[in-house]
Amino acid sequence: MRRLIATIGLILLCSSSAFSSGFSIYEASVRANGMLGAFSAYADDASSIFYNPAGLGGLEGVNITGGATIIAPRSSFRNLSPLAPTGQETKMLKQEFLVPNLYGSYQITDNLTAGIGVYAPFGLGTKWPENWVGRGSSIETSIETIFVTPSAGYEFSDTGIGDIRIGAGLRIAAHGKVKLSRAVTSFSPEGTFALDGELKEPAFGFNAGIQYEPTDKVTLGFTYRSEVTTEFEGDATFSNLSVGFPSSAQGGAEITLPSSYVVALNVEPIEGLTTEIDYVWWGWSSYDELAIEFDQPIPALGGSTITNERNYQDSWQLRFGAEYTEIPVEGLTVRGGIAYDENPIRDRYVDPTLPDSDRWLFSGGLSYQVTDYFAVDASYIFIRAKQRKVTNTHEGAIDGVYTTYANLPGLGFTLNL
Amino acid sequence: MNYLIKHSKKLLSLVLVLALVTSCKDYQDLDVDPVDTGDADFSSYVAVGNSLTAGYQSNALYQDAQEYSFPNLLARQLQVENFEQPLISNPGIGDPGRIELTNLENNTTQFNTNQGQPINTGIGQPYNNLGVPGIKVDAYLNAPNNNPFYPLIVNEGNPQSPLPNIHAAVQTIQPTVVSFWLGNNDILSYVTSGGLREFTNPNNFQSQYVSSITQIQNLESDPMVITANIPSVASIPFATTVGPQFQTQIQSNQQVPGLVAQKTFYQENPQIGASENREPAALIQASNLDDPSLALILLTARDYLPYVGVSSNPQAPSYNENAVNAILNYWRGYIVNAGVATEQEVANYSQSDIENTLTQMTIGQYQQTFGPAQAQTFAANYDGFNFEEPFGLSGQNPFPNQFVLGENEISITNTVTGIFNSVIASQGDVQFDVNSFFDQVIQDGQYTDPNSNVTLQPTIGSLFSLDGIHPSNRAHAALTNELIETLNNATNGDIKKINIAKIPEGIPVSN
Repeated sequence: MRRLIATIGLILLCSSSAFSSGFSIYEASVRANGMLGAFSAYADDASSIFYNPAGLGGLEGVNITGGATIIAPRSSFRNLSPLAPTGQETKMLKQEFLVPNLYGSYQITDNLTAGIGVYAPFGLGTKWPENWVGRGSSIETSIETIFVTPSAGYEFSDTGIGDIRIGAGLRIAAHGKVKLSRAVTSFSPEGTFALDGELKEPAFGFNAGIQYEPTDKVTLGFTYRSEVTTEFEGDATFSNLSVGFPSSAQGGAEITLPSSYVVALNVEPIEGLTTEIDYVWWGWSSYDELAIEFDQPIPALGGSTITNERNYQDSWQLRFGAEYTEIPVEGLTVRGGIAYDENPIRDRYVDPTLPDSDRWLFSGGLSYQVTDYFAVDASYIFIRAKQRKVTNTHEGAIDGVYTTYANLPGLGFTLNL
Repeated sequence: MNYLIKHSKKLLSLVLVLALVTSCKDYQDLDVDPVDTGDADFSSYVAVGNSLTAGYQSNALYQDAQEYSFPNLLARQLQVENFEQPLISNPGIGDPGRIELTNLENNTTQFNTNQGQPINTGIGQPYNNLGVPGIKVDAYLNAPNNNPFYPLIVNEGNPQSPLPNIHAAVQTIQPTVVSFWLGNNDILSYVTSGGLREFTNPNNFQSQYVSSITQIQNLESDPMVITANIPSVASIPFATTVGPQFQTQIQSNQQVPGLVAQKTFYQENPQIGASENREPAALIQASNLDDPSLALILLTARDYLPYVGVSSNPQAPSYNENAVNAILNYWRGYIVNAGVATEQEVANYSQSDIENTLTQMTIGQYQQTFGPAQAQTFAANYDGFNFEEPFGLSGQNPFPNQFVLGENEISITNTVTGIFNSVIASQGDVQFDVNSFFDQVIQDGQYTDPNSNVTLQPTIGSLFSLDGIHPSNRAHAALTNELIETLNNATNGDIKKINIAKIPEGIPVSN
């Protein structure tokens, strides 16, 4: 019996969200949101610390930009498993997440600008009703990360072949929280397993980028962001599970946040209109499993580790954005964008911790220059994920159909001093 | 500017087209592939049966197990809407209660004597799952007396006017498909009582079974009838777990050469054509304890096996006060059940009072202990009782018959099951051969789910729930898959099977 019980996979972090493929968040600046993140060649404000640190190289004086994006995902699940009637619908509980960002840059010399940014590149959460049919897979999952990135950019002007800018930054995962819970249906009465963890210590990575401006009208950009291996640890609780479980334990897990790169092309076809297309690649295949290690053997698990296969695949996004400044309202800039985002999760591994799917994103945005120095930025993104039907899912998941959409309003400011 | 307008129109149309394309799949629509049931019409399904159909597990009927009863799982695979079950809140109804694990390391269990309540009541129609734990074949047409489940299951859907029998409930529903799985209890109680309770007279079994099926087939709705046969009750863990364990335990102990079980008398049993004689109180050799054709030590023996060899003589090295009290209390209960003395009276019986009473009890009084036995009776030990003899090793202090199925009883069980199964095989439109399925599993030592990497063993906690008799959640899923296979073959359908890995084990635990 023990061996069988040991097959209970208490799940795992795998985190969450419904915003961008995997659990990455690309909404790191309200101005960039307006162009759906097609910003790595443009990168003309301090948020280039995220999108392409080479962009710092062109920044003059002091630039401060900050804001927040609200992410309001909505998902529903329709059951195709034998655990409930076919087609039975469960709506994910409504949650809104505030994703803040703040960047500042300072021009040190004519060609050298340094900056620092605070943003949340990974995270978000899903929460399902406690008694829902997929409770054995997941009830609540959330992951939060805050990155701090000191960076610098340098501009080589008058090279004879156009402007070249380079930049790099140190990506520090400074804060992180992980929370997950699920029902343990291997027993009657059912119990609940929960893990509430925090980032054990800051984790490090880097980014680097280059921008090449052969003419006034064309900019090419490339950004690389490295993997960041984070370690979380915290309290594991086993509620209503006294047989085979300790009342509490410490649990830890390592999550490798994937690397990514961006290839970007920005063109200004007519005066005042900037258009950009970015190809973003994500190295999600680094996320092959999630193992939670406990500080003690758990008899019901027959060991002290639970491993959950994730087997993500690398994925990509194609982002297209435009900005127009020459409209007849003084000080107003408008933006729009559209993007396609391929999800990294194979059908077999899709589960309610992160009901991911390929998706279309649509955006609009504007900035209003209130004074010479100060602008207010606003953006709106709508995400429509393809309805995703998964059958023959792995042991920790549940067969069914997920439908997801999300609204992401954002508001921010930009200061140029 | 014109250039921009031209382009922004293009851009806008692109956005609109994409928005339209991606929103075409409306959130409200779910294109579920229809189930291909071939020639069969599963629009209304009723399951008739006993505890196996009800989803009874671990000695109780409770919601967490009922959810995984094979009829409910089948209904879900068939996408039958509103398949109603008489759900009982956890920990369910059982006598004395649900068996729950108290420790995972050594698999100790206890009864949870809390009782659950019916929770799916007042639905205005009979339940689709009419599995009533404990019933025999005759209960389909004749309501059983003193079955605590019967009124809850058969009448609760229609509490104002109690139904005369299960058939009346089926008649109300007018199903298009009926699964009929009865007969197990007609032989099971013989096994679980160590051969003391009667099995159903095979002639009666045949007439009751045939008239039940005939009545169902005569319904206006002209249902397809699936009959399921009886798996070998002598190969369930209830009968096969303890013997081999005991054998291992005593292997090197020369003091315990085996087990002397209480003597039994058998009468001729012309109905099954078996010549039955007195089964002598001979020693069941230790080396034979794991041979399922020679001896089956029942799960209920577990509490008493540790006392084998104990003497009631305080001077003897094998004296053990707790053990002696447990043994004397067993016999006190036995005397009370036989109606020879009241509980208050036996409470004051000395050891020699108990010895004398047991020695002097008549066959009739013994019969009363376990109900009138038609096929067999058993009498007091010829040699009398003497608890100073080593318990379970002497004809004068034998291991109680109730906990042991001897060679003769095993052979009777198999013969009777065979007769019942031949009756079942002749009835219904589709035959579900559960017996062969379980035989194969026992022969292979495991069941492998073709839809996942899950393997299940014919043991408690795997294919069997904690009572060692009733299938577990996952065993119900395996049964459902076997039934689906049978149905697909019989009706040219393509009903999808269940991935057993997705079915929670749901093992009852004591928190």
